[in-house]
Amino acid sequence: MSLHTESVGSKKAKSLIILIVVCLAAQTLAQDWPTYRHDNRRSGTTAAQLKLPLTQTWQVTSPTPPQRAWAGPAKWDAFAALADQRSMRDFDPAFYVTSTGGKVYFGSSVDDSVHCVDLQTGDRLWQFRTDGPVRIPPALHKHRCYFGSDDGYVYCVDAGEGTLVWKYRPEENTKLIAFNGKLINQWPCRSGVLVQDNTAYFTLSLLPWAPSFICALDADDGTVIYKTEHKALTAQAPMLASKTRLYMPQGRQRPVVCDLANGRLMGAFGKGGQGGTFALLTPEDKLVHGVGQNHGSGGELRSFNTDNRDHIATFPSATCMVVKAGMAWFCNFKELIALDRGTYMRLQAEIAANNRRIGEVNAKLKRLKDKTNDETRSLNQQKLSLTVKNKSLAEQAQTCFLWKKNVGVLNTLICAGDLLFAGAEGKVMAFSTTSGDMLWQAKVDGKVYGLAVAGKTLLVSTDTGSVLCFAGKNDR
Amino acid sequence: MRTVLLCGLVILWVCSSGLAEDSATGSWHFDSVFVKDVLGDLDIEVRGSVRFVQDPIQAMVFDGVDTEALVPDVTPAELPVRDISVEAWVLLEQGTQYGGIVGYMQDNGAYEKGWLLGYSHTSFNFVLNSKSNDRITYLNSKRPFDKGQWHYVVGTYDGTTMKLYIDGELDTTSTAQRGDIDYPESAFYAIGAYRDKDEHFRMKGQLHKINVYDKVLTASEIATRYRQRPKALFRPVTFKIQPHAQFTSSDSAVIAWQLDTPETLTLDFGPKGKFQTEYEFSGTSSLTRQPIENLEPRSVYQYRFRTEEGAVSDTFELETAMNYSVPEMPVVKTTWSGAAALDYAKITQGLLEQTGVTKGYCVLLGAGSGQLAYELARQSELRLICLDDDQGRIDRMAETLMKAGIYGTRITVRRIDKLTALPLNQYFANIVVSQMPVVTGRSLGVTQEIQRVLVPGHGCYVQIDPKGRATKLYRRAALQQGGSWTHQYGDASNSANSHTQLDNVSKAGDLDVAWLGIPGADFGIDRNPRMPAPLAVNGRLFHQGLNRMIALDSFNGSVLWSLELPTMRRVNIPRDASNWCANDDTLFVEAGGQCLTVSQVEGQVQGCFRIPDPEKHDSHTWGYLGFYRDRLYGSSVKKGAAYKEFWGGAMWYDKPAGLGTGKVISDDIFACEPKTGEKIWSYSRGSIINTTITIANKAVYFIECRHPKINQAQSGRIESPELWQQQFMVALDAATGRVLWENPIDTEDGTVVFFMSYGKGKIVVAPSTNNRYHLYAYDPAAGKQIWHQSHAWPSNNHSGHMQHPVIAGEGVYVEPCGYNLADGQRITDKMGRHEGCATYAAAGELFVYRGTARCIALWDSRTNQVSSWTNLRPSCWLSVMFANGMLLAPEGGAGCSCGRWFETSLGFIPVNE
Repeated sequence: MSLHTESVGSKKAKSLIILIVVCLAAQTLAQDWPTYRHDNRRSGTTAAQLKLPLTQTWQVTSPTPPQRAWAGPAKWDAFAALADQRSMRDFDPAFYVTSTGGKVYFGSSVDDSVHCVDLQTGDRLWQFRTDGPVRIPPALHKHRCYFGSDDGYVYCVDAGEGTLVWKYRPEENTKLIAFNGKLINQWPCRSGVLVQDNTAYFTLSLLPWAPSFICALDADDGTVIYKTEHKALTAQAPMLASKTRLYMPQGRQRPVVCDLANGRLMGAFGKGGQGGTFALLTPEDKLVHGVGQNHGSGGELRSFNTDNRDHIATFPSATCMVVKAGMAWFCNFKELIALDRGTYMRLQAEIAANNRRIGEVNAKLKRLKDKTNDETRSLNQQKLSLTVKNKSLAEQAQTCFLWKKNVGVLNTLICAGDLLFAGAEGKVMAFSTTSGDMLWQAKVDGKVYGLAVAGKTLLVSTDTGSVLCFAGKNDR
Repeated sequence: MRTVLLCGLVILWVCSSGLAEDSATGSWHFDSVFVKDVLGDLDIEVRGSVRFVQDPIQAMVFDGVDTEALVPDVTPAELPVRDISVEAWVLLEQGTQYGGIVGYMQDNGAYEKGWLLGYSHTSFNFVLNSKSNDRITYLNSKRPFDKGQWHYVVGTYDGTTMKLYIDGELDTTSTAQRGDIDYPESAFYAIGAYRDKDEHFRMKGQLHKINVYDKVLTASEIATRYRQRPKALFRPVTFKIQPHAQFTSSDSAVIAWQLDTPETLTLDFGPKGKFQTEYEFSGTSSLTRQPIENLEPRSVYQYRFRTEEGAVSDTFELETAMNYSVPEMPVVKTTWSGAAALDYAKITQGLLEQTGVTKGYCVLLGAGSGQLAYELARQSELRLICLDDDQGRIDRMAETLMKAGIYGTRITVRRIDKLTALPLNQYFANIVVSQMPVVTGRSLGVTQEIQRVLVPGHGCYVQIDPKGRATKLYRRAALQQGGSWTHQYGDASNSANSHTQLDNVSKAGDLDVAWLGIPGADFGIDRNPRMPAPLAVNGRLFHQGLNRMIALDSFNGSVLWSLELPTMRRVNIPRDASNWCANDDTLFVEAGGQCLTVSQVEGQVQGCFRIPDPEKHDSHTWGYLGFYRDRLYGSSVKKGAAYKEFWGGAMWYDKPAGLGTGKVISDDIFACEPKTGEKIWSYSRGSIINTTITIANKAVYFIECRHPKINQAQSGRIESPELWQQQFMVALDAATGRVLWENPIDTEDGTVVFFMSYGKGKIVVAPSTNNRYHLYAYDPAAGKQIWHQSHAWPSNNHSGHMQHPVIAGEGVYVEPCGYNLADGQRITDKMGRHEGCATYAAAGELFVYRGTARCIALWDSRTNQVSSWTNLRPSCWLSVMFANGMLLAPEGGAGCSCGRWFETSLGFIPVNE
């Protein structure tokens, strides 16, 4: 496959672009998007500021749409009369991009390759072919690209030339499986590669009844630091990392966490089956994860303490979130919402603590035989007091929602400076972080699932297999 | 259908609603049994049997026997003086000489007064007498009414002209009457009856709504009201071949159908929620195919049919997310560098014609210019995987294809270490094409390795020599004992055993994943409602989803075709027969009450059979389907008997009693020619319990109930206890239908389930009731009972109480016990325990079921070993089985919002093959 590139603009403009690119090279380096959703916490947030309005400068398009790993979700849970189930494995609906040094990188599930195109023109610079679909965009680190493929290999490629530096797979004599028209390895890499402290982390996983691998390699030369084997793991979608831990979404299973230092599994978040592939790690190391449903819930994002893995907050119907300082913005099926995150999480923590205490009181009450004595009365009083307090806290929490805008279904959301960019069906939009006002929008073909801001451009990935670039008038 | 049966006196809700009803002097909506009187002065009193139906629309049933409805104590002063319109939504099941829908009249000799909207024989009529005329006028319609169909009938009179409208159109007029209506001094204000002082003829049919106005509705108003009628009251379009659709490319489909009789037809099509395009067809009753172009991916469209006569079909959906067509290869203008001067287009054409292999995986040995791969992809639906041991050739070919913009979608290349050890599973390739002689000058020959990777039964090996000659060197034979799954429980004997030979397979670890992928979670109805089992024969796997089916290559999971068939649905299979079966080349599928024949190779609907008895065409649908020794077997079930409902917890059909446990019965059973549907024989006596129909040993065996109450029941789903009385086991000669023997039997009742199977020379009857499973063995020669065993069922939920027996080895098994078929001695009481809602199937003595932690599990009865696949689940009945030398697990378990499950289709092959 070759990507079809369309440039928007005149030759004169292109010459000007080149000049500007050279002049601003140093500045664009500071405005990279080096990994999936910008950083290893998957914040989707950058300090880069784009000047609106933006216009499309180029577009590259795959001959066929992305060949997703999984079919869509079940239409409903007929038994529970629960309609509109959401996919918990939709980690590859578009060719997500990463960018650094004036280049844009993305993997393709169509031509099994990683592509590098010029940020300013969309011109193809190089293509690196693997033997299986590449579903997660490369991580960029020290002028190198790190990515995994369904062929079971993890690759390190020179970011400038597209030449192989090293590749690795944990088992050499592996079996190939026929998979929707292609051959894949029984251990595909569907987590992508996370690079931190010059170490490349990744998983190789598919079948829940077969072992999976969590690996850490020296990013420079691919030397194995550790390779751990795990049962009943179905790691898929980009991982996240704090300084000491690695978080792994698992598709239809709840996410797990392991020790970054040795790959030892430390536990899971939520109830079994609370899956989903969206995840972010807040600056305070709170994990936000979803979107999954579990018997009765209609799909949601959930927040967890990473220390004890307690479930501390739920964002019903939410599908995507970005956080920045004390704020969070998230979308559900109809609204874009701004949240005073600091206050809200504090209140939620208090409510959770009170609920735990109520639980303890209930347990004590259950143990008491005499339901009329002073102790019972005292416990009931405590319970009532905590309940009243929680009601008050819940009312306060509602004031943390600073604004809500009815914007329809949004598929993705990022934050760049004081702007929120959102992707929807047939369009991409920009909103003010402070007011929620829509400041700009542009039509695109297909559903927008991927957004990135790099080099003063907005990069848009759609489910039709296109990557589009938008730039401001003076940034082209 | 929900029915309410009341006896005694009730008062119907009388309401006035809607614009036109504002001037109504009587407005009755027969949509509720609730007795509140809204207007206060025109209550209807109903006596006798009262039954309401909800399907297709809320209506009151008049049984023609004792249902009686009257508006009491009405005087002429309360009725229209001159201008009058009487409208009714009515369904008549039979005509009589004197019939009434609504009226206030006396016609006794010369005393002829009042009015009536009614019918006579096959015509509607409007009857009225005015003060200017001594004689009453019977204005009979020219157009007959259709029995069993809803009609909108209106009679109007304006002091000069009587008019009778049928279905929105003026049918006939009369000017015989003039002036005010001449009322009798008293009369019955009768509903659903022709009633005066002397006569009382009750209507047999249904009423949805009646309005009587003291004004004259205009023709335009009447036409508008007819057009705006509830959807359910549109007459259905009758099809000879049910509407179906197939995707023909990534953005196009063909919708096909055949009408029962030639009619001018409109096909409305558009995105879900609106019809945008009309396709007109004039007066044809042949099979019609309408291409639909420019479909958007992952979108839902809708279509319906309308006839000029006013019939409208249901609205069907076409969902492009279910379009599994391979992407087309674009026409490329590439210089195929390094290509030998060969005409690859012609070579490919000959190669494909020679082998007949056009779908699935093609392994191309030897990376050439890329032109052969391109032509193979362009001229077929194959997916190409090119293997070569030379990295340079591989890279050059990939680069050429990438520059041409065609790499990846259908063609990939892969370097391998050596061509004598292909990194492929056995059975992977539908075709292997070697162009090594062209690329390197060396021939590969028919190596064992090439034979190993070919699909059994179809797979071909072709070599192309330097002169461009394609020579078919080898076609792999079918597996000798691969086994097939042609009926719900394996074959027509209901043994639930494919007898697939799997050497050295005893546990899950002895099987490798050969393929996985489509169809996924979005394909099916839900794991919930106990769907029909998939079928597998001759290396093809057939699987049903939500109003659709798909055919996969059993060996590599390639999608061979899919068929959208919106009128196909049957659930609660533990209480009914499946809606499909297969022979070697055809699928026989019940859809819309008829039996469609579908080609296994292409998925094309080839024909459609009705149940053979024409007298039952309006009242019955095709029930059982079986194929045995060149003959198709079927049965007739009453309309509405087959379960189709799947929404909600009750439609899990897991209750041990009550709703959902009613057994579907057939009123006849027959054999017919599979190519024509022509009847060979039929048998009709009692009520045949569909789950007992078993064909084996040159005989058709079943159990029928001959209790009069059951035989006269209006419903074809039976819960009543009489079903377990006056039962006979019957054996018919499968070839002639002659009764070989029939014996009264008296087993324990099958209140939960009631199955019958045949194996090892025994007929096995397996009822489940009162916390126990029972097994009875009978001699097939004379139907004599040989033994009876019983054991407690493991639970009364999650199918712990409704397992289907499996005949394996020398025994018959129902969890947790197995019994020797010969003497009933217990073999084991330690079967691998089920967890969750599925039932067991077997290959020889290896059982597959839903076991440990509710995952798909194996139990080897020879070793008593249990093993399972983590987080892999089947449907809530039977979606995993052994066939074609594989363990096949097409996706059937999706829908649970509990996460966790793998939700994809898989095929497993023995590790040691």
